[in-house]
Amino acid sequence: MALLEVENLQVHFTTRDGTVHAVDGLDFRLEKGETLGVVGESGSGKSQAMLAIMGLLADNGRARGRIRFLGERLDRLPPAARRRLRGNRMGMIFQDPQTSLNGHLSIERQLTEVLQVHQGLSRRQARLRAVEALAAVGIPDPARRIRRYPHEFSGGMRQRVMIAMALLCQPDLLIADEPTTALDVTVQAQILDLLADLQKRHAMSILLITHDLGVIARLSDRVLVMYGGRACEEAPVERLFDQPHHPYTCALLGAVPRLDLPPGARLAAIPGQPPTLLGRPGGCPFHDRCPEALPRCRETPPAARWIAPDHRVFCHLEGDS
Amino acid sequence: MTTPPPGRSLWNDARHRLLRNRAAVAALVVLGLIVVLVIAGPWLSPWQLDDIDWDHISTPPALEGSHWFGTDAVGRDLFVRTLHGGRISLLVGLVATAVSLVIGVTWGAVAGYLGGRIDSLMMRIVDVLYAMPFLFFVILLMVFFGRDILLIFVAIGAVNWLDMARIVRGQTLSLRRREFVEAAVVGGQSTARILLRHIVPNLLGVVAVYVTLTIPQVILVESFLSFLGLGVQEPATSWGALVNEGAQDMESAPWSLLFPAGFLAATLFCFNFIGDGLRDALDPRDR
Repeated sequence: MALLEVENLQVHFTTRDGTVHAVDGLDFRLEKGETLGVVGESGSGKSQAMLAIMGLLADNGRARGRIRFLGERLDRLPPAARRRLRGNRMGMIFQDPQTSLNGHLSIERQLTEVLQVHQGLSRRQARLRAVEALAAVGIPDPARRIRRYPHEFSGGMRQRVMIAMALLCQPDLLIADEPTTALDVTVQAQILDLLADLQKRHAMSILLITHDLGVIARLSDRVLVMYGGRACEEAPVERLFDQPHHPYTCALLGAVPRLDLPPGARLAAIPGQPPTLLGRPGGCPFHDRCPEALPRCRETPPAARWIAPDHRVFCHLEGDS
Repeated sequence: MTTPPPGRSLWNDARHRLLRNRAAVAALVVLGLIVVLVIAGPWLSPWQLDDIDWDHISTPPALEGSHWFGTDAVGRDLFVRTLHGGRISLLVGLVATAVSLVIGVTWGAVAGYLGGRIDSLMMRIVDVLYAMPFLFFVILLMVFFGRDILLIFVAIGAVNWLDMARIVRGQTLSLRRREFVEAAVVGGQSTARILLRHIVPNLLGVVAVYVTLTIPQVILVESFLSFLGLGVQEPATSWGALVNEGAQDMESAPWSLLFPAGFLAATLFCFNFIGDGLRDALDPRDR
């Protein structure tokens, strides 16, 4: 049984300008101990899909479709039961460690709170566990540091605290929403190594959301590329980098700076704008930016096509060739 | 094992900055003196609140004798009356502000955090209450229930929490989408706990500033009511009531206006300086 199965997930937002289809029919599976990277540009629906899994959509958002967590239908659970899962069985870390800790509470209070809520530990036990958790994420002298406040920590240290907080109850699933975007490059590498290390130790699954292909390459087993609220392509990480099939994936890989290109070579930009998600777009969401678009790309959305047992593409193109 | 020293919380930081602000510290000292005087002062004098000294009617202030602030037109000692009035004025200020603080913060935080229809409903109730003519409301209360100092607390508190609720709701709206609140939701915490532990502590900076500005406002409202004859009743008194009496014979006995007015003004100044100092100290820059 897969840890997480998502089937035909749709996320809609009712806004003054009409209905926004942030996610429009997304399927994927996540096995135990596996890392699935979800890539896509801003507005591709990747973050909203993750929030829908956590049950944290904004007030005007509605999620439809099936979400199974260890076989249990999350979308049918009452809010109280979902709350018990959050923080306990599934954790989440956010993009900006500057704002994701409460400035008025000491690190100790913020960490022990989670343990007291979910595991019913006493203050003392919770404190010991919290100190261990800080040590595990590489914070030196955790017994002293735990009394400090968030503004006394650097950005990288705060992100470590966030990771410690998300992992306190040893969740089965960790959703990392751009965990390194707000950090500088050396700290980025440390945090990614830390996540990989913690994953091995706890046999935890990670859903890693990012727009940085370098981060994906470093941490993921498989990659799901999203565009305009839909999946474009899904494959193991090496395979996706070596033989991308979807024109969007190819364009995305072409837009990454590489050291083996001659100096002065221009990066390939993708012309055009991402589609507006107002109203349901007909056809493939990428059709008006796709260099090889066919007439029917405009009309019917492409279905999944398996070009290898572990590689699927949502594109009309290669079906013809 | 010794417990490690705690880190510097944002409140510690704010206190340090406040104590470096000379105007605020001076205001705190003066206010402290006024409070001590108001509480302990009446015992220093041989006179009671309603004692009438038939030999000294409307005498000017003098350090010899026992009428340090002079006496009023019916021969009551002004020193004792000013300090007693201060007790009432400060008490009204504190109690009414506390009432508006509790109701306003709860109401505003719940409305702002829950959002949606509940928010609309709660804030429309506030709007309706806003539209009620305050003075009319107070007069009505007085007519129905008689003149009681408790009613003044209730009446002022009932009106002041509306502003507090609006301010707190606005702040909560901006806090609720902050990531640390989302992180708490992700951590599986209940709504009540999030409100109490994450929203309210982050509101307190704004609320503290607003409170120091509300207290003088409430004292003024009470003075205004007393001035109109709707406030405290003889022989009890407040600074507002004393100013009213003093104003009636300020040409013949200016001291009966000057002392209560001076105390009232000094207190209001102090609260305003403290409020300014707090606002600077709690500058909502994210650190």
